[in-house]
Amino acid sequence: MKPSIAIAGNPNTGKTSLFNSLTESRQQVGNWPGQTIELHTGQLEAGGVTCDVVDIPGIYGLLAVSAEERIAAACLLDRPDVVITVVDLTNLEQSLHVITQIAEAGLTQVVAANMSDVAERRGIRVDLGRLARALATDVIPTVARRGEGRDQLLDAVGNALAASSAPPLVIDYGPVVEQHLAVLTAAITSVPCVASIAPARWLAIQMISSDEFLRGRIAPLPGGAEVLVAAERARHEIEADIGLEAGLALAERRFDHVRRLSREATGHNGRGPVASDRVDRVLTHPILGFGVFLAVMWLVLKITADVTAPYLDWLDEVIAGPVSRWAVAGLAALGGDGTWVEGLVVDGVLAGVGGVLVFIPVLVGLYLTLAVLEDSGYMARAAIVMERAMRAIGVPGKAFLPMMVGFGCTVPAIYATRTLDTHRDRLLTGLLVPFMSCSARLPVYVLLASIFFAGSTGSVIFLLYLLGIVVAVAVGALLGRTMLPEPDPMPFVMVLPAFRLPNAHTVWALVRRRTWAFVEGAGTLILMASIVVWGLLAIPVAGGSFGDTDVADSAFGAIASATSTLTEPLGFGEWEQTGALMSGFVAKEVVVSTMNQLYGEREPADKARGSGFLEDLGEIGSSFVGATWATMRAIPGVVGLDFAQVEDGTSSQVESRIRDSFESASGGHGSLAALAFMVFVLLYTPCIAAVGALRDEFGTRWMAVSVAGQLCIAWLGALAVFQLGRLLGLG
Amino acid sequence: MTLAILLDEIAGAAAPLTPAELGNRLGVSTEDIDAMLAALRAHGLLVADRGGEPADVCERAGACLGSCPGPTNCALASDPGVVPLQLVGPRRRSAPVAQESRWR
Repeated sequence: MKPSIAIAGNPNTGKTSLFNSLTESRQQVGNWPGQTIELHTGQLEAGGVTCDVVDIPGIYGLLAVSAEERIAAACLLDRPDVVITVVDLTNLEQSLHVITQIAEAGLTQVVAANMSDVAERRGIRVDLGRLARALATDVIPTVARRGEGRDQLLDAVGNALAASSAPPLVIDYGPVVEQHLAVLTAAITSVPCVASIAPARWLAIQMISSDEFLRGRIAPLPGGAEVLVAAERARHEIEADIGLEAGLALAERRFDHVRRLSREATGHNGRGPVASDRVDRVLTHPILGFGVFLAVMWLVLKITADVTAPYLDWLDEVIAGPVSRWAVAGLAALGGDGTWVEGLVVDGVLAGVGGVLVFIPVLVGLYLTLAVLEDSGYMARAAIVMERAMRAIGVPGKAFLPMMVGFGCTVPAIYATRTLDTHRDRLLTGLLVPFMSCSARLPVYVLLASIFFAGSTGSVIFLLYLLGIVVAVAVGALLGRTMLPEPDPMPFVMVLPAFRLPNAHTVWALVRRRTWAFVEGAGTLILMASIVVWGLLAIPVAGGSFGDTDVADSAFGAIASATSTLTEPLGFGEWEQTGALMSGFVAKEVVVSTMNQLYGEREPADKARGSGFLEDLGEIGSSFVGATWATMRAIPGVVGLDFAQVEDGTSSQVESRIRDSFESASGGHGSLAALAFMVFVLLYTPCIAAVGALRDEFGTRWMAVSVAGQLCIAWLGALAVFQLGRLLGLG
Repeated sequence: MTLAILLDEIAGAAAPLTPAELGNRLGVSTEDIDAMLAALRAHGLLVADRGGEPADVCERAGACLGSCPGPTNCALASDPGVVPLQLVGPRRRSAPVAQESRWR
């Protein structure tokens, strides 16, 4: 039988990199039996012997609380021949808890002191020789992702396999605890089935610390029940004697031991407050922090909307011009020009999907700025500010996690409510999450704000995001004080990541993944919705034939007209506007694709077929250079320095028709009507998938309450904006 | 400064706190609080309560039309990076120092 090696350690210490380095190509990936957690196994050569090696999930200690820790505990109870414990040298003290507990369990251990390069760069000096002597084991410096230290580590593992196993580490837990430990250890030793699992003293320590996983293992063994009774007795007696939970009493002593070890190895005796603590005090302050949060959000949306606008225009021209011409030319070559297929491709797919894809630059801008904030650690501080705002109005503190996710997408945010403790908290948060403005709404805001509020696009979008938060807070306060009163809050600590300079690779990976998700959405859901809308627009209900009818007389026009009276008081009672809102029930990007389908009009045939392929490519290239130049000039505008004074003042045909439509529907208050429309888009049901998520999590009744509630609030919100705005003489 | 005092402070707080705020209240550095929180977590007295990842169940709602990339690759479920550490079980206040010193 091959010797067995387990790789253990805290999460994010480079365990998996080390596993990959040690096993090279000899590895398999599967699942732990009955779990969705990945199991990595492989082989390595150490001391001339082939060994089986398993990468156990990252853990903080051996008390099995989480699923990962239970798996790790089960692995270690199988008594591997050697445990390679991976230590993050930049956070030695945290890693020492696992090392100490493994040493107490009497397992043969080799320590891989990983991230030694990062520690060196940060000026963290660890005396590895001293650490090795204190731990009575080999400590090998490694840089796992570069394979540095690999051979020395394998030599150390080979030596450990050849040597007899070391005695378990013994920590002095003080006279009272030691007295009870001795009695319980003796009781365990007298039951061979139990004592064969692991060193009796370690079993006693774990049972006194209420290790439920270990209790489950011991209970069915012959004599196991008696051992458990003895352990319970010992635990109660310790607590009665020292007036402290037994597990906590053991933790105190082990903490002292670890701290001493850490300080001996690093020569470090703690530090006073550092700059990041002072910055955190401002960023997480209930008032100052909220001000910073608002300023940052304003800047993010300003950059997103203003700086990326030239690229949006460029992509719009490319799709409406060369791409459409190529599509028409391709269809002509296949004999499909002039048929309904041309209508489907140009009016359905290109107008619908293309109309959404032009917003890619805007979303890249949003994803880029948010990724920089996330990777720098700021978003964690923003989450704290959000938590405080939520809690102040009776919404559970931990609701900040789903709320923040809601800025990206409502669907995972609704599922994220599972992180909350009670059904009341989950339900309340699930009802509020849809009011967070998801990224799918951004194209609608950009389209309308750039038409009606040119020059203030970013600020208008910022106010919409803010309104979403305000509405969520108000609805939360109302529900929290009426239907869903708050129980006693569960205390917790919020651990924040350290500030750091954003890593270009991480930021790019985030931007790429999110942008691709948007493109995939355009290629699937929005494509289908565009085809359905085109089909409904092609079906005549008052004369004409399929694909050759006035859109107002189409099935889509008829359905939309039937509901347009409901939105007349909101300033947008034309059937095109209500039709766009209806299709937006599928997904918010579909509002934009539908508007492009309804308000767009194809270029004349001679113009559509007028350019050559090379001319088109030249046009795309030159307009891209122009867009880049315009973007460079727009950057100073974010901070109020407007060097981009040359505005051509032209707008596309779609934009002109949208403007005319809102002006006529609102009796000359187009800007107010557009603002009311955006408020409606912000507040009504985000998408059909979100409705499904609400039903999954809270049942059909609450789903219906949520959808109906959002529609009512959206209607009232839009009504207030339009009518009050009119009364006040705005717009 | 003991782990018991820190646990009492967390249990008695009216609102969730950050390590820096706990450090301020108890007069110790944030670094020390971080180390003590790590110790409490290592001993199963605090647990990271994120309740599982949401993205693995989105697929059932058809959010990504059957192309759900899974919990770690979800492009839209951005994680602000805060780890809420919650007390495990009901917390009793620790004994007075005089009693505690008996076992030390």
